[in-house]
Amino acid sequence: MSDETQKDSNLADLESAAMAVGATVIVFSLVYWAFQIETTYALLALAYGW
Amino acid sequence: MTTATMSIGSHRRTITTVVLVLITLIFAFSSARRAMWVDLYEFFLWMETTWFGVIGKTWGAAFAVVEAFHLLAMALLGGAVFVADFRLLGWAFTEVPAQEIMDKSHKVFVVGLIVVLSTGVFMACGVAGKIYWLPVFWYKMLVLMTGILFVFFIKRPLLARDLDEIKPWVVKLVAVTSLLVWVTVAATGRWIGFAGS
Repeated sequence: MSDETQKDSNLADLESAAMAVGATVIVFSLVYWAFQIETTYALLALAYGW
Repeated sequence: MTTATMSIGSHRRTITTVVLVLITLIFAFSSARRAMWVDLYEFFLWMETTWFGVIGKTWGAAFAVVEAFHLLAMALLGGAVFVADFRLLGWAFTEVPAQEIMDKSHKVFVVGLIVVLSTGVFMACGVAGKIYWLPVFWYKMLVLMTGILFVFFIKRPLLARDLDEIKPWVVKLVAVTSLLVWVTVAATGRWIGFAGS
């Protein structure tokens, strides 16, 4: 494999890895913070009868 | 070397990332997580008996001073993250070359991270009996570990290249991911202070 091809291949690998982590972190953040907001709202509702 | 082997070899980082995510997911939803949590109880009890634990528990002023450095280092780390990621998103410092900002902010980030980790260990020893029972502490550790691996094995190697070579939306995705990770680390860290007392 030539140096140029190797460099392109490494870049493509890094980009795909970044996409995989990015998608995982975004999905995790949405689920985690949505759950936290929901449970906080439920506690406030119990406390103040909303 | 076969074509398939070469193909797998050229996607080593992506494969490692996907495998790590899958292992974490399987671990999170399996009984192994609970078993490991139970096993770690003795370790957390031991943490409270160390010098750090004894000082942290009995000398409030020492804990407060270390916490002050922990928060200042978080500010340093957070500042470096915001400066770098806002530049990547094109929201700030657009007159300064992105590569220059990446290089300089990374040095500040590393200093902040070292101080955050070392002061964090001290603080954890002082309140080990409390944090062990807090789900938010374990979420913080998970996100912190993700953030460290992401910075040193993906973000930094990727952005060390000429940014014009990288797909623009991947650069923005990296910035958004980084912001989400470190904001969650900071938020869950502060949350520990308010939880379970």
